Amino acid sequence: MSPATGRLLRTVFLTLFCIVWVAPLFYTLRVALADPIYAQSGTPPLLAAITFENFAGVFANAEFMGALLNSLIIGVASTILVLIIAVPAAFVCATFEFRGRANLEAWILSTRMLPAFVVVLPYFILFRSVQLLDTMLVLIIMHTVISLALAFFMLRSFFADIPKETLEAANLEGAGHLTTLLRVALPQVRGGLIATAILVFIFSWNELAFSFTLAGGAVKTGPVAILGFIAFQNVQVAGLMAAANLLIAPIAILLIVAQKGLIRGLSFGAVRA
Amino acid sequence: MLAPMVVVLAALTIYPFLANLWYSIRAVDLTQPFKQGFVGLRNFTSVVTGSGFLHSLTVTIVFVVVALALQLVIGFLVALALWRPLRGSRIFTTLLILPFGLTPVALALAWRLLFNPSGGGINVLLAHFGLPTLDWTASDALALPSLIIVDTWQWTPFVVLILLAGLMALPKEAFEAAAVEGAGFWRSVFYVALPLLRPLILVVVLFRGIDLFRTFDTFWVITAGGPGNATETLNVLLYRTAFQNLNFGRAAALALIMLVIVLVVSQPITKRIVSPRERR
Amino acid sequence: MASISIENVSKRYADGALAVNHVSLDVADGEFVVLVGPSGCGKSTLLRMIAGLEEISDGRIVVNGKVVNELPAKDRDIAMVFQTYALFPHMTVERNLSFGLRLRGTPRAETERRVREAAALLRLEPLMTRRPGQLSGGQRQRVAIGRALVREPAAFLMDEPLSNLDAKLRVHMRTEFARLRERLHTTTVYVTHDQVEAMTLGDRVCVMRDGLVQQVDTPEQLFLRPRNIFVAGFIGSPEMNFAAGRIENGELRLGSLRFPLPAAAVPAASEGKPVVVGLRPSDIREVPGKDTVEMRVQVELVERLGSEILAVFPVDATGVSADSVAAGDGAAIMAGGESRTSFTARLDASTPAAAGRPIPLHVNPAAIHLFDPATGMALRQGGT
Repeated sequence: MSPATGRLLRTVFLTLFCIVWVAPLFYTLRVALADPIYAQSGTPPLLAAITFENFAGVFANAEFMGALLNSLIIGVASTILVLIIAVPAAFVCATFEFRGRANLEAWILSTRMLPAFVVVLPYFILFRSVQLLDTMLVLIIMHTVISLALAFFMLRSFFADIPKETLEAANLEGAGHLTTLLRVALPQVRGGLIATAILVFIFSWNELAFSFTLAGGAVKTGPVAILGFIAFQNVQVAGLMAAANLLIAPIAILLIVAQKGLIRGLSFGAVRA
Repeated sequence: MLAPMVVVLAALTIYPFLANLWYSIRAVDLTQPFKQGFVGLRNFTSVVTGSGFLHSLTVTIVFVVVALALQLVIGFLVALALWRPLRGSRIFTTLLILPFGLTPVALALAWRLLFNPSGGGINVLLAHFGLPTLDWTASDALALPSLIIVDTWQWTPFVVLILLAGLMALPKEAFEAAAVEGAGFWRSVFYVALPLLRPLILVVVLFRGIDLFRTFDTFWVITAGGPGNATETLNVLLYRTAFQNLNFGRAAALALIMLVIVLVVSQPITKRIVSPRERR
Repeated sequence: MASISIENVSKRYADGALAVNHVSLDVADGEFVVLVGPSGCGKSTLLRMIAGLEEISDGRIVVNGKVVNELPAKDRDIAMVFQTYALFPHMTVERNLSFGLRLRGTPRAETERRVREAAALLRLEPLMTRRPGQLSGGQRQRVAIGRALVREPAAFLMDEPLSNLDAKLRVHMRTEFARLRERLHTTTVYVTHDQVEAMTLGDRVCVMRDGLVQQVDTPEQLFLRPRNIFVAGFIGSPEMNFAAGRIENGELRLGSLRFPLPAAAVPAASEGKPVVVGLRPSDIREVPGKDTVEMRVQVELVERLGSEILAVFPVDATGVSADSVAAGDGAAIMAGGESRTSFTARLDASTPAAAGRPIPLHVNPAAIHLFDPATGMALRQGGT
């Protein structure tokens, strides 16, 4: 097989793959833009008239927009908390040798493996007893906790890439560990820090299990609110898809921004892509 | 500087573990608030002998194993296609990051619509080409495969990007040497690339495997475990036991059983992933 | 300014390996001491222990009369220049230079003055607003030195500062270091594996091997009077020639060659015993001198270096490697082996030496070094 034929076959294969993979997203967007009456008339959505009515409807829906705002607040708050907790820990593990480090890291990794519902029950009972159920605070706490391991390993791998000598030099220049972290290490991993923050935010934004077991009444997040829509009998498919698109749009943008750190984060630093 | 992390994570793991242990040996049934107390291992036996458990375990295993295999095979093939320089490969990789970070609930809703037997996108497409339409998520037989399709759709790109990163990092000399020895493309893939990628494939198996085991959103939104209990994974069963039947004692017992499954299955791979760092 | 006293210091790793083995060394105030040795000899580990970057397993390090074992690196008032320069990549040259002073809360005017002085001394003024990524290797090196200078620390530590530079720049920077040394007279411990750097820069040089100090002396003494075969082989280029010989009747026999030794110079115990003979290429001359012994040799190979030549010729004695004697295998080597080895002589370029041609060469027996084959210690130090 000549190289040119090979390239052609690969391009065809990849194009097919991408079409299959992008089609559902495109379909969703197209339905969201379709005139809602298409469903009654039996027109395929691809042929329906294009309208922004559905999006307008979602924007006018105070409950859903409120839920998006909740998600935003919870996401930002938990991201900040995660960074405050995980940055120093990741720095220490990346730069110092100490006994039990491997075990500590294995344990941190294992916390990521628990299915949400394995831990949610005790939390439900605990937070019910302190009357925190259905508050922003409880979700901020839980969303912080679920992302700690991820942020830890991601940051750790970024810190590990810093030339160790710069940290030693800072030390000799008279910087303590905290000063070294803040003034020498963090500025060197700025890109990684941003990618980590974005990923943590995305995890919070997407989270469903805790959001609808520990809250979901007075405090709804985006995913919980959109699930609420389908509980109604006569849900408008087009409106639902508009809401779904609105829910994923900010994430799509963030994903493209965070591209570089994404794979490293999701593979817990195992892959330096 | 480690303390906050350790304290918070200890709270995450140790407290729920102990609490689960405590509830699992007691009757904690919110529908019968007055019948509380120590019940020994009765919660565990009723979970294991309950009709749902074995079924859910099977559903979970099938889902995890089949989806993981599909994602690895398709992911590896696509990564291979992207490996050597190709015009426009940047466009492909950018398209690839889209599905896996997007809100699962929103994507699941989209797939629910696509799978809809009457008027759903997939059946419309099949009918258009004169193919027989299927019942997808509405049928006992196809519901689980449908969900496998959804997860494979969402996560294969992630596998592609990881394996691609691994392929790119492989030493070129190894392949040049193989080529000089007369190995063709597929041979060098099987005898050079795959063995070198083993550690990375382990990473994928671990993280994807664990995440497949934890998958809830997709199931809940698309089938809610149905039809009947055809797609009721352990996760869905646990949710139902705890929050629909409100039987916390039994749910705690089930949670502990799931915890043991996760730890037993993941431990060997976790060790292999964490310890090589140590040697660096 | 400070004196540094290393007292019986050891570094033991978790696996029990001794990287630094009971080392003692005194560095006087203002002295420039070079630690030199092959890689893995423990010189960098010792330096890092002085810096406070490595824990001291045993012994003490005293700076200005104060034990610093437990003092964290940041409080030792010591500056270090790293092999990789270790500049802060996110800061400009100016910020790199002033970092330590700013941390210490030095008044701004004072900081600026010192940074300006260091920049002038190292010709860094045009680079002040650049970042390390935009600098060449030599420029980075100067910034790293500058960062150490501005703090006016008690001592400088330098860990192979020139080894990342290309050959030409290395020679240039070596001169630069010598110039700075003369100007600043700050106590300095300098680590290198390059014996030329050690010899040209050090007031004194400490030769290390396998975590042990072999000899601490001035460059001249190291060259002329190496205490053992390892130092003799390590210092000097081309390397000293070694071969097995024997002392009989106050005469040194090296194959068919005989060198009369002054009675006072022959250790009584070595009479009749095998010895390792060491002869520097530069101690083999093309012209006879007072008391020299002539040897007629058949030149095998000539390497022309410009102003001088290296002539390689065979000697009918068993060759000896300094490393194996130093490692304790000397006795075995002396026992067997082919009675033929090659010596190198460093001669004036005008010498009519050519491959295959016999020429007379001259050696002053007083320049011959003798070593104990079992211990590798010098029996008698040569040198003229």
